[in-house]
Amino acid sequence: MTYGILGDIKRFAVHDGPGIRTTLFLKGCPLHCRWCHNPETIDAKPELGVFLNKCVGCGACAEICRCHEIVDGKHIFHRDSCIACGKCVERCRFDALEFYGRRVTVAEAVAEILEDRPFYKTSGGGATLSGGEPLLQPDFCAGVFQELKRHEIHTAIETCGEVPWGAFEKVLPWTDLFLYDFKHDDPDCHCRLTGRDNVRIKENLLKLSQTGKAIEIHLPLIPGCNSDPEALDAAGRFLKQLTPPAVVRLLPYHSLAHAKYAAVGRRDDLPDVPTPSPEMMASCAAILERHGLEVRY
Amino acid sequence: MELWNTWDGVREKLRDQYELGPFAEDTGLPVEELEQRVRKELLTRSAEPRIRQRAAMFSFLLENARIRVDSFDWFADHIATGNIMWKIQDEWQRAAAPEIPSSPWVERQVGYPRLDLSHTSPGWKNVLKYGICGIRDRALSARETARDPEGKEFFAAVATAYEAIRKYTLRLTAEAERQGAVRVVNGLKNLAVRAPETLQEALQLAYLYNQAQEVEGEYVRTLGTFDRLYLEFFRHDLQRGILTRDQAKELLKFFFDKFAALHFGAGHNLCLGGQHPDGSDAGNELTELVLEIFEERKDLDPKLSLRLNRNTPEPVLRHAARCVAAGINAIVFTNDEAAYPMLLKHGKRPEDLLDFVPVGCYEPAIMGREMCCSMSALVNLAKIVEALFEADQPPRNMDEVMNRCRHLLAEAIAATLERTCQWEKRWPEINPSPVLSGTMDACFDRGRDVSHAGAYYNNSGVMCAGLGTLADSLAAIEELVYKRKLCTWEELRTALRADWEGQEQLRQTALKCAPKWGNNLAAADDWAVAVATAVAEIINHTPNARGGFFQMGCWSIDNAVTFGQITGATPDGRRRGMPLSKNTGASLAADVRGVTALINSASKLDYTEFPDGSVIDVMLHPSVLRGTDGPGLIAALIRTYFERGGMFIHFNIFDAETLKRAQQEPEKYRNLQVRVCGWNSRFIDLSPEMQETFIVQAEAAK
Repeated sequence: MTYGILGDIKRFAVHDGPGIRTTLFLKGCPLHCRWCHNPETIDAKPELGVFLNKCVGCGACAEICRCHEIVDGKHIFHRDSCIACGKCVERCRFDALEFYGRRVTVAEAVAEILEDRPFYKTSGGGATLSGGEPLLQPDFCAGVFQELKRHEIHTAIETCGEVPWGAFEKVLPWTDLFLYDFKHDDPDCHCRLTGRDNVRIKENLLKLSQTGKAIEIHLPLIPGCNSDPEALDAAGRFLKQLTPPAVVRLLPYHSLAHAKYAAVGRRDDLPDVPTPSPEMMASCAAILERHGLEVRY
Repeated sequence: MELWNTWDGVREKLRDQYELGPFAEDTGLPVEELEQRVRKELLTRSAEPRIRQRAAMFSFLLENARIRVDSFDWFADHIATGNIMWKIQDEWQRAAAPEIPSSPWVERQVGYPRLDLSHTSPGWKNVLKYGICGIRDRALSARETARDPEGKEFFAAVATAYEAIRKYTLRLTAEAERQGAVRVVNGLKNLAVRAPETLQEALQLAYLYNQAQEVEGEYVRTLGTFDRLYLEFFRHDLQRGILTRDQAKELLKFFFDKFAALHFGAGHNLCLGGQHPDGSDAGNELTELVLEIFEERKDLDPKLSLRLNRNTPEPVLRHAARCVAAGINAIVFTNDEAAYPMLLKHGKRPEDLLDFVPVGCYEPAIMGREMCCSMSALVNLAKIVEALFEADQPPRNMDEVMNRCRHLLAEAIAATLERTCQWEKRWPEINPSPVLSGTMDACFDRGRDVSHAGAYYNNSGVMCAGLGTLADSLAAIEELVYKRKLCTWEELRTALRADWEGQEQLRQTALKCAPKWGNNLAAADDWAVAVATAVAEIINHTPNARGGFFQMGCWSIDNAVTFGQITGATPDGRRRGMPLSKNTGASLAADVRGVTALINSASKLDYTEFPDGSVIDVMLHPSVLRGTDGPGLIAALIRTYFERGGMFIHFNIFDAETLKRAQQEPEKYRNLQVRVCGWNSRFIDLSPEMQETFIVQAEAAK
């Protein structure tokens, strides 16, 4: 039986491909982008999110697990000893505990997706597998999509591309659209910003393009990281090689994820920069458009 | 004088037209004197039938009240009657009240029996076909052949009333000539002698009629199937070169601004679209024109009911969806393909379906054939929970809970409807309505006023509020008492009576762990379906006192807030006084699985069992529209809901931050519209409680 490890499910997702979609966020990612707004999906293993701002110190969690302790009315969580069984989450009545890493079978995932099937039909939507990096779980992705194609549901994968080509091959027959992240053209900069260079990412993108599959490039715009004209110009030069040409979508950075970093006990390196203004978005788009690319934002 | 392209320039004046300047003294009597004279007249007529008294009062007012014509306007209509007819009918109604015995269910505010005089759908086709003189003459000749004295009396009253409207038209003509109001003189002159022939005449007549009915004492709650009613006039004028399309558009803007200027809180309903019996769409070039105007006026009023079907052209739906996305959202989307089977199921003839109109907010009726009286009784479903916990013996299981609930609802509703019947029997003594009745063929056929069952269909609507709160309460009882056994029935009762005081853990469990209606979870949705089915069985097909039937409505309008204020704590974790679930939707902010889950839940109800209407409120976060085909998404939500049998849906799109800023700096948010219930309001005009419910909902819609 193939399982997937899910961080979350979003219904009525309207930014992850065409129409009204259901997006499954799979856990585990090879990159550690500084601006990542889904830190709970970086680690492949299940984990517990503890939102201290919601905790009232009732101690219901501590009654069943020694990882939780209430000292002077304050909640203390011993993450090191947590095995992420998730039992404490049910005990909490204040939404202060979240479990990230539900194990689901292909059939369970498909059932969740089919719940909103009527909306896909009227809106031209479907299902998107995102993350994390969904292609770290290629068999699960392929299993879900194969089943969805049986129901004639549109399928999309959002990928960072930093996976063996073999993972792409597994999902290719069942995937209608690839939402492919492109963060920086320069390998060194890429490594500095995400923890890895982009050699394989670029290779995979060119290969994927040759298959003729529909690709939409997702370029997150993070002021001070990748929004300078030189970087965008270089990105444009690379992306115009793709045939058929891919649409580029600019995603403005926002720094709303601080609470989630704290909740999963991960160091928060989120760039302290404002969300790009509409004017900035337009001028960045113009740079890419000079390379003949279709840009949306 | 420049006749055209003046709308932008005079718009401010149009908006204030009912507050502008005094009425010239030489045009008639001041309001105080009018009232004295009317009351004196009534004393001399005290032995006469009520309908004759009413027609005489109406005539006196139209012939003697002060009038005014605005020379910048395309229509003439100002008259100062001081709402005297309303005052007097209120007195008559109050005088009748003590004779109606109360009931414990009414006293404890579970049911509200009422006489609904004001949810009318006049026969606009007849108004435009016959004109003022035509209806008067029709009544005069019917009087000759009337079958009985009541018929004779009725026709005489109609003739009197329409003769009064004719004289009023002549008075307006004279005043218009005196003021040099060249735009309106010819139209008025023609309307005093014949039916309308041009668009300007038709709209002038419609406004005169609207005003006459409201002077008489009943609100006009639909402007009818607008695009079809005025199509021939529009085509006629364009073909003969009387008007260009732009000029027609300008006329309509002046016309619509009159309704906005009335500042009637619940707005004026205007119906577009529809479906022919062969399945084809009944919209036309006026449908698009009205949507264009709606988009350009950006006003709350009139509000639109857009009737959709599978063959509605996509551009029409997208146009309306684009308005919604832009915050111009005074639109209720209506599904003919669910409404038609519903109407047939509840006794409507197939040939009447095309004239289906939503009355008031979203209460179905047949235009010109039906007095739907959609608020003849109000029921607070959630308040039945208090009664449920009064029994000494705790129920043994959920079947018993539901049986008791059904039994209590049946008792409360029966007591309420019985009292509504008592009111209905007194109607002819309170508010005979010859102006309104004169527009209905069935009143002519029967020789009866609408107050005495003259309309073809004489049903009575029962608004049922708080479906979601009751369903959630049952789901919470099941979860807390019978499944998880976290508390006993008695403990829950104690907690509820103490408004959860000292029971915050239990309350949080009820709020968070018990399933809630609106999340596509069977454990809660099944209760909503069970309650709706039970209530429909109790109400539908129960005879009223007017030869029709009671009809269930599954909506609450703003009573979600006001009923909530008088409803004790409920097992779903709701505290005493908090709002109930609104319309067919979820409890406040309880629909946490998103809009698709909400619609999936709502699709489980059988809308053909709500002949008095129903509506689902959808709240979207503005981010949904960023970088997406927003109108396409809205259209898809509507299409999906309708494919699954939903009947009425409307939208709000805003974020909590904007609403909070609007609270702090209202002057900067004067244009922020919210869809309240079946009408729109400026956010800044809402009560603080109502503003708060929208903020809570918007925060949940993240």
